[in-house]
Amino acid sequence: MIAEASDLTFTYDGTERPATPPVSLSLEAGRIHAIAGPNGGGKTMLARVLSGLAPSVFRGRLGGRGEVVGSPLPFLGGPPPTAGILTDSALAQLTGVRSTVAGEIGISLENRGWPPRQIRRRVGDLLASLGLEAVAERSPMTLSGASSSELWSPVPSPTSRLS
Amino acid sequence: MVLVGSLQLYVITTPLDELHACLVRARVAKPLAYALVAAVAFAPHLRQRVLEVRDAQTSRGVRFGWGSLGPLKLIGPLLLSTLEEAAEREVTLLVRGFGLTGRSTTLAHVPWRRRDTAVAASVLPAAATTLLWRTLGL
Repeated sequence: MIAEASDLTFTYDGTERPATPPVSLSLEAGRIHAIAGPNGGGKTMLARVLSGLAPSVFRGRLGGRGEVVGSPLPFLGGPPPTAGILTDSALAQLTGVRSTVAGEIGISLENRGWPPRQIRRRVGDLLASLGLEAVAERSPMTLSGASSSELWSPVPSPTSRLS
Repeated sequence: MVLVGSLQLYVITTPLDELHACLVRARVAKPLAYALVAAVAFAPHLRQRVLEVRDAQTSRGVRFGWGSLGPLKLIGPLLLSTLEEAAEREVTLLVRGFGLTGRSTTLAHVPWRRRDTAVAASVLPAAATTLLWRTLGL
């Protein structure tokens, strides 16, 4: 399992009502899972909890229990490099402070203090796994829509902006 | 447009990772270093967004003459879309470790060369003189 949760809830500091309903789930590695629900139903907050943003950045308290890649929640030290959030806007995934695709990918590991040699190897492996080695030195701002989506926003929310 | 065009020229001629690495090495606070570089980096996209909003509004019959409320109809959607994107980017930055306080590394290696010293020695006094000139209103 890549992530598991049992009656997991998140409640903002200063409030009594949980921002998420109790969630129990098991996410298998190598599969794509969809979480559906109404606006305001807690989908985004669940993603923030699983990626370590809550309660380290979005302050509050967790109920129930959960673990991601073998580490129990919450991640009090902040978001771990093993989990992340990609939204359906490719441009919003860019930090803007790196002039190459490889640099843009590697900045997550720079911020976590990885040695440059290891970062280069890891980034190279990732690009190779996607068949995108050719764009490593390109500006991330000028990627084609397909390459950009594959790197920064591979699974757009199928229900976003529907009315 | 002149401001955005100037920034676009700056982005084209300046590697952003080297600029960011230099600011961090100069002990500029990391959030400030990020804000300075990102503001420059995304300026060209602001221009693109202005054009998109203008086209969308024009196709709905909005006129952008200075005597009308047209500019407000440009600024409103522009501001909203920029704020929406900023909220998404906040999550991007947090997940990618920008809020972490531990030691960080960088792939950008920017050696300080003799000609850098020469440029700094000539530019800094000129900048200081200009600032003083404008401040004192001479």
